[in-house]
Amino acid sequence: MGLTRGEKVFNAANIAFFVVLMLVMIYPFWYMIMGSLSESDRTAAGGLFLVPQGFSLSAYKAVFQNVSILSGFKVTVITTVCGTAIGTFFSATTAYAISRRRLRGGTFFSMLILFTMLFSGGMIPTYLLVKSLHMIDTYWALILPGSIGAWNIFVMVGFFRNLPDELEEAAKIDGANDLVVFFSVVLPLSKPVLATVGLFIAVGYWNDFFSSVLYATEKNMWQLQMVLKDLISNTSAAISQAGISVAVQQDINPFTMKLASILVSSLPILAVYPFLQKHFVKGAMIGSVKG
Amino acid sequence: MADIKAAARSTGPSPRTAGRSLMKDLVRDRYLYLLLLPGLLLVLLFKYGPMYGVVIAFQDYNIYKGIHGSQWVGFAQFERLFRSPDFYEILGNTVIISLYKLSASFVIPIVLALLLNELRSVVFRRFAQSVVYLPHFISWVIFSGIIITFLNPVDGMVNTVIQSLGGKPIDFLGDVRYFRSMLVVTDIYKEVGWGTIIYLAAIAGVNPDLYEAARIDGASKLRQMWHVTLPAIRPVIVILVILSLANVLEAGFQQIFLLYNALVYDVADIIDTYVYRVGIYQANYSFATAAGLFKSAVAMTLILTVNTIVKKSGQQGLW
Amino acid sequence: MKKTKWLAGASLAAVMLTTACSGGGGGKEASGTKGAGGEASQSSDAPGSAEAKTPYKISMALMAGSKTPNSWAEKTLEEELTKTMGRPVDVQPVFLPDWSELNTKINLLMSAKDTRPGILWTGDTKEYTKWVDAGIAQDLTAALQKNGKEILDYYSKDTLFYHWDKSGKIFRIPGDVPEASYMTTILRKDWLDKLGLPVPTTLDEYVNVLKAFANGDPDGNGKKDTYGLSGDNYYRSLAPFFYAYGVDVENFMRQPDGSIKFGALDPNVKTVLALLQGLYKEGVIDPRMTTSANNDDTKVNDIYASGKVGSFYRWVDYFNPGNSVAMSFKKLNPAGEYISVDPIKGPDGFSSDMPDPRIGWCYLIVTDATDADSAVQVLNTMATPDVFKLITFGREGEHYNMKDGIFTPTIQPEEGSKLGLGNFGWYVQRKDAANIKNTPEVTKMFEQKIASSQPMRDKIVYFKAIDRPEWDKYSEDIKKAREELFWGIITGKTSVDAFDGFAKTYDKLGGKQIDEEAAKLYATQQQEYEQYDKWYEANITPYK
Repeated sequence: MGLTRGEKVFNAANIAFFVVLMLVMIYPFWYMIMGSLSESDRTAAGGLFLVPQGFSLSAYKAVFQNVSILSGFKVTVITTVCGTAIGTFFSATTAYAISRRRLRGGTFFSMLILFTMLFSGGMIPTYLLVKSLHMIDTYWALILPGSIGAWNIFVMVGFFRNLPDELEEAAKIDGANDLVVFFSVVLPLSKPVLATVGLFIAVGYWNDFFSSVLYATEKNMWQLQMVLKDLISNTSAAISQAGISVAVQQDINPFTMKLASILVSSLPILAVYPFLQKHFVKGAMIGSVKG
Repeated sequence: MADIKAAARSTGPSPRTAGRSLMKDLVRDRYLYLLLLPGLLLVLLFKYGPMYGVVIAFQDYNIYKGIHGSQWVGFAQFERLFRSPDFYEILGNTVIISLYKLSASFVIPIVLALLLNELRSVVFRRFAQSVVYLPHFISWVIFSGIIITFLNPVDGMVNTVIQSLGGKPIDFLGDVRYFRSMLVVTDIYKEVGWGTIIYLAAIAGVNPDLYEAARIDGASKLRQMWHVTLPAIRPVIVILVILSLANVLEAGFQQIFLLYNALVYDVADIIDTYVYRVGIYQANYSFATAAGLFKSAVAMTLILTVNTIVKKSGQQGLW
Repeated sequence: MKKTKWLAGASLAAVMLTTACSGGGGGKEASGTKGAGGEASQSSDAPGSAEAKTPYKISMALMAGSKTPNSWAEKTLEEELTKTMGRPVDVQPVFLPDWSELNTKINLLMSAKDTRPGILWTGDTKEYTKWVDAGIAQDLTAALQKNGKEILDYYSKDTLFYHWDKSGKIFRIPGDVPEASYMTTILRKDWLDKLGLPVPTTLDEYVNVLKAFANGDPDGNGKKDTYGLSGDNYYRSLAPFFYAYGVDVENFMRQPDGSIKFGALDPNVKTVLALLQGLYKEGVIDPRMTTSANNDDTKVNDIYASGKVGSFYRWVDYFNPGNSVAMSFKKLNPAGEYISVDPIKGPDGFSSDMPDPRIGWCYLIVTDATDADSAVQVLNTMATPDVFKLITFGREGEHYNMKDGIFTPTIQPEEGSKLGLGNFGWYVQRKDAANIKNTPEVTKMFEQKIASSQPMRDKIVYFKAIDRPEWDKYSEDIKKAREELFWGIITGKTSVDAFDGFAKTYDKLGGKQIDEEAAKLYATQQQEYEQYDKWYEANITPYK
């Protein structure tokens, strides 16, 4: 089928727009890559723009020499994989139940969940709870408390409601119960939202460091982001004690190392999205089922 | 277009029938309750289990004495917040900055998602998507460093360009006229690509037959977007907008904290930065909790109000 | 729509979310505990059961930084401790997170006996008073008398005063007390020479030098791209100006009539602000001072190293040739040279460097999770110069060389941190000859600073009291008003005369209450010192 002239112009303009936008959006990463490859004592001159100032891999060497980085990777990969699986699955089951309007108490459950999005008991009671469950320094502490979130559930509810009702009805006529409907009809059709929520959950776990602050006392249970935060922490201190400014200086890790560690830590999670993208077109199936 | 709307706004298969016995419904939906259960248990255990902690907003809390041993002070923490000399300025800044960001980050990701969806080459579209969401992964700590470097009035790139065009250098981050705009622009820059993901997922679920029908009717691309895509993803948009109200009193602590300075306090000091400065050296858990409770209460009120309005207007709200 | 925050956040704990988002980097919103320590079970070591053969287990909280578990430094320390204590010692490090989460972690650790470290490192005094109240912190007087000679010898009587409790006990030991003064006026020597200017000694000369640095093209590139002065936006960077007039805008100052007054209200402040406003307008002061550098030392270090600014008020440590900033500057500006000069004299001939109050900015608590005698013995061993050098710099010949008093590490910094050489930093950090990193020249500079910072030390009032409820209540609002006004004036946004209204603003924001409280504390503090004097003579002097 041919395109109208207007459509051709629109397409060309759209492509041009995205080329420019991509250049703009990729720049900070480019800047970070170039910075991380620069010689640490030359970045101060401020000339960093398109190419590295000098060339050095010492920042990366320093990052990989850190003894805790491997254990950090391990902890983060395990928590991310398990947490994403648990979080996505149980968000989906809960959301599906709520999304069925015939469910008695649906509004109550929705409000119950919404309430947790706004109000929380705070960090210390949660810590005490986790401690009393004997989960300190275990993967459970890093995974479970954050696995379910109101936001994700509501987004899924919105998507499930959008599924045509005929699907459920047809399956029911064939004698399927709700479990069968959910697993064999709803889930396969919900790949876009599962991929989306799964991505959000995964990125959340990947970037989490605060769970380590709360629930890890052993350094080998520190998440990757915690290790990196520690690695690049600026140990110079300006502390105000009763109004008196005191400042103490220690050696500061160079800028280049900061950038290198951030790149190293974010590349694996950046690579996830492109793999998920194919699920974003599968939604087209709905039409074919219906038709 | 009526049928399209109807399809987009699906109603449940068997609406609740009055008079049916509760027991019968429970038995009928036993598998639904089974699906609900695990998630609900996690919520009850990890969210409601510690919920008793909110009471410290009404205490002068001491972690070593615990909630039982700490002194009750009624609304003193709230009074302290509301009576602070700059409270109205701070509240105003919070609301203004947050509304700017809410409106910008409501419209722009949708537009961008629609445009992305129109890219005809699948490879290019995927590549563009993956590039556009990159800035989300740069933490504010690093991103603010880059922003400061680029915007500084001495040798920042932006000002070098302005000067080479014959202009005078502008202190973007030290000037009340520009500061809020910089907050919105940098926030959009960082988060817009990430924001499109969910809309792309919604667009992927739109029934292709609808486009086909529209094409046969001779609708242009623009009209298709307006009359097919947008109505189809409207339920998702509505839910996201309602949910985003939860953040109406969060103007972006990290970003502002890393970028502001004494010259722009007038327009940049928000509730969170204020609470931080007051609380930081005093470990004042109670004050911070009181401020959080205030913000949540406002957000809750807004969400319930808007949800009711949405439902009254015949659309699907959160429930 | 701040959706993105939710996107990422929704998948984390709602706990984290509300704390991290509303509390600012976490750590601030928190809530109740059902009786801290309620389920304390076993402490790491029961006092009394210490037979010679049972290893003494001591857990120590260590400040963040890239620190290494099971390191060489830890093993070496254990060996040294075993030698001095006569029984096996097992050091169990507890690694703390960095500043933004530090207090959160410490509070959680301290809330129950089974997680409480034997020795806690901390910088927060507010929580400390709660630990004393709750009986978590142990009185160390007897233990110091018995095992703490090295510590008592190292810290001065005045320093210890700030750590002494007026009940006649000592619950905390300073971890790091900075040098008497560690900052200095720094100038570009090569620029002075090039412009044919002598080293300035008075404020007028200094101002002229700064102007020449900004306008006289000292880097000879034909462009006006240099500045006279730069730094961070703490007032310390403006010390050459304020201190020349004998004012410190952040502290209470002794007045000629014996009373005390908040420094920001001093009439001389107006004169200084007017002077700075002029310099800012003329382009002598780097505009980045007002914004870019406010939170980030590395940014200022970059400006320092880039060599486009003629003067700073910054660290003495920059004159150690091994300092990374100094090395960076040398690489970028091979012909450049910074010098440290005497503090600038004001119109009345007054001059001073920035004094340090000599109150430890961080300190160590021995908790009820271990026995005080052994813990102090551990700390005392770490404080002996030889052990301190060993765990801080490594073994001479193996990890570093000394030649003519110059310390040269033979290992890379990364190897050093792998060995755990940074692990025990700020655990009785010695600033004397044992700090071999300082060159003899820098050591001498620090010694000179004791005298050159004395004039301001005599003027500034340092409060011992941790409980300052009025100050806590009102100071943030006052500081905000001060920052807005002062930086507004400096940048020309506000007129100099606006300063005249500051006293009124101060009163309105609670200044009166602060003043009253300060006066009372100042009076009681002097009485307290007399009391301390007696205690010190009886409990410390004989044991030194």
